[in-house]
Amino acid sequence: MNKRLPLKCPSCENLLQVKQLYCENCNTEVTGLYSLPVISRLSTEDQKFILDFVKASGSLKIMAQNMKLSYPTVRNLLDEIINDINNLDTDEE
Amino acid sequence: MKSSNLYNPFTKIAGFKSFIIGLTGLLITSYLAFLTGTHFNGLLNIDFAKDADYWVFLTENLSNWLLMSIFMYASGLMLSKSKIRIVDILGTTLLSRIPLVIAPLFRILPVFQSFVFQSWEMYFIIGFYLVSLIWTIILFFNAFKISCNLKNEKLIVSFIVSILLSEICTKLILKIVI
Amino acid sequence: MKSISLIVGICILFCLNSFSQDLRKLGDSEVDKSKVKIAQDFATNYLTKSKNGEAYKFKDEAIDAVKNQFTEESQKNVYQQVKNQVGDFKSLKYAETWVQGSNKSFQIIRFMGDFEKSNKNLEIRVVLNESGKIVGFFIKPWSDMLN
Repeated sequence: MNKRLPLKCPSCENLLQVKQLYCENCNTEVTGLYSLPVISRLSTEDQKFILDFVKASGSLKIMAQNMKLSYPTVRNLLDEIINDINNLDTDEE
Repeated sequence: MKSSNLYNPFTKIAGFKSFIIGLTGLLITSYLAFLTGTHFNGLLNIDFAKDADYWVFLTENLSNWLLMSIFMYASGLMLSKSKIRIVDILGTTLLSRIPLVIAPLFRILPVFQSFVFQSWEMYFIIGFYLVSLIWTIILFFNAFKISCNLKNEKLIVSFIVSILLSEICTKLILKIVI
Repeated sequence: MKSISLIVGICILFCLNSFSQDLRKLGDSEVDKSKVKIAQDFATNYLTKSKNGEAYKFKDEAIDAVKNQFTEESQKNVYQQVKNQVGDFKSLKYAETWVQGSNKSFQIIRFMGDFEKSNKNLEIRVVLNESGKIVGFFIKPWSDMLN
């Protein structure tokens, strides 16, 4: 079963932070307070887009061919993700 | 991503491909316009007169397309944060004009070739033209939105301004050239 | 919503159609060629003479009202106005004939005129009454719609 990493608090909608990490190999638990990386705070579709973009060597043309969309449409999607990332960076600061 | 191919084919097709298809459409429309005497002597205008050579009809269609593209491109450069490609603007605006072939196509029928002012034939042809014009404007809007990546008020205001400026400039230029 | 508005708009346009005239275009076989010749000769002669600085002299091809109105002076003025806008007359060719009324009482004979400065044809219209006399003469931009 594919589980999605929750990003927002189900109670108050605030951004969740990582409190505990667990090692499956030796049962070690690490407790602290860590922010989720920016990329993991994006939607699943946006994360997939970024991965595909890197795999396409950063070529919007190849992305457009793979996604069967027009070049400006793919460019607009990328610009939206850039905008979201900038907003997340600003929120963090 | 929602897209209807009839009103917004630009999520799937833009750039050079749309340029080639659109240009073919423009040449066919111009030729049919010449055969039937249908003048597109403004971005939003139509007139009926079998009175000129083919190059006049071609010039009208080319001016309508190029001026709209120029104003859209200028708006995009000023208002958009994205990198805009001129080939996207040229191609998508060309493709948007394809529905305008409807009126000259109907004028091939003998009953619509010459008619009396304010007759049912005239209203029929104007009706067809209005349908094709509304369709074209919707396509222009979506072409502008996708090619320039503009949203909300910026998109709406700059679109209206581009249409108005194109209409005025097309009429001026056609008056000088033709 | 949008499509409904459009349909309503087109219906309104149809409803406005209360001014259609009883005009009909004649088929090629119905056209009276002798009347076309009268109209063509008049239009060609008037325009050619005016181009050469001469006045057209009427015989009996027009009604008196036309002869009285289209004097030498007004002939010159009309041609000068045309020349200023579209240049000198070159040629004309017959286009079509329309009739008003079912008994073909008036015939509207339309020619396409070619002038020096214009890239577009002008309409040269000659109107004849049932006796074949000229009752009207117009030069205007060509339109496929007879108005």
